[in-house]
Amino acid sequence: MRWTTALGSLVVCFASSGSAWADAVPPPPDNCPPGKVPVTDHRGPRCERKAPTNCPSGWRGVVGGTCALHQCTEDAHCGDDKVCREVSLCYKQETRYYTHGRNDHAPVRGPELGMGPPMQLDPPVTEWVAFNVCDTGSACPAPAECRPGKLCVAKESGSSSGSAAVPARSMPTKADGTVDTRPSGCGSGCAGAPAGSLPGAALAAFVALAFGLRRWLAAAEP
Amino acid sequence: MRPAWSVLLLSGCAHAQAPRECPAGYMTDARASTELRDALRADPEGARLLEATAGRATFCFARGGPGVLTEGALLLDDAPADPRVVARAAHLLHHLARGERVTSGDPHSADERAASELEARLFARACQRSASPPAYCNQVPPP
Repeated sequence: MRWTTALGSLVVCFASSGSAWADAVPPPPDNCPPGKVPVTDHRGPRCERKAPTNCPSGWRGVVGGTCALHQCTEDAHCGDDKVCREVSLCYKQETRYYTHGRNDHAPVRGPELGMGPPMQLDPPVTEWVAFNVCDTGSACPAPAECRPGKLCVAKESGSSSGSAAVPARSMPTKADGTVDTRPSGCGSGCAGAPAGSLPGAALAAFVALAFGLRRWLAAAEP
Repeated sequence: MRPAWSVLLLSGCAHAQAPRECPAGYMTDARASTELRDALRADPEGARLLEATAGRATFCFARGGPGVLTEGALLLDDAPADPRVVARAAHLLHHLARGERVTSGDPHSADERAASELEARLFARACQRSASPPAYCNQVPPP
């Protein structure tokens, strides 16, 4: 059973790293491997995947290598190459018991204060949170609901007035109902892809190896 | 000689956190910095914090900036007129003024509680001063 103890320790080690929520933090690292950028925030300094530049219309790349819905209320939120358009968004209900402050993915801002340490919400807050575009039936499985919203969408190339826009597109839904926010056409090795970090991949490989070894040992026993 | 030593020590502490350049991905936006300083100066507690940290704070802006302090650089969201950003900046200046380079992240610690209460007061007053207060101003009860 020694291997299970080792594995348990490893899991605890990975799970516990970066759990603090400090306001004054060390600076970002001076150097990062190719494809990653130095960042520092409440979780401290580290290297993260670059924000992808190939997200579909209605989404924007975020540091960490994924795409996030680019919500807006007016064109000014969208930059020069995008416009704010009404779209049907897929919403799910979420109950929050704690807040770290505002949702930094959304320029449509909630009532929270800054992004300080976690504060208990009493009573808890239940709200509708947009997580995908409603353009196909499979993009918004129940109990999620399609409701109106606004997204920054790409301007049609050659359209100077901004009246013509590329329709927002949904991103694929995984078996567990969550959205795969990795940019399309990206394998696990490309700069803009998967949220999985190197420690995560190493842990997965270790677990697979441990299980394989256990099976092999069981099969080898007389 | 004791007072002279104290002054020397205090001035040394005051310069312990020299302002740094903004990290990659953040901008030192002069207009946004002025807007934020003006908003802080309009508040009695904000004005005191600006004075206490004069020459030691650099405001760095990026969309969705996390609202943290690192070696004298305040990494903020690029919305300097937003009451939440003003209040958050005051929270971070509070840590800077006290020479706190790395905080615990424990919301129950005395320093964090004081900073969060200050942030809530600043936020409420910034909302009151705003000519067209954002909708979320009405959703937060005054402290």
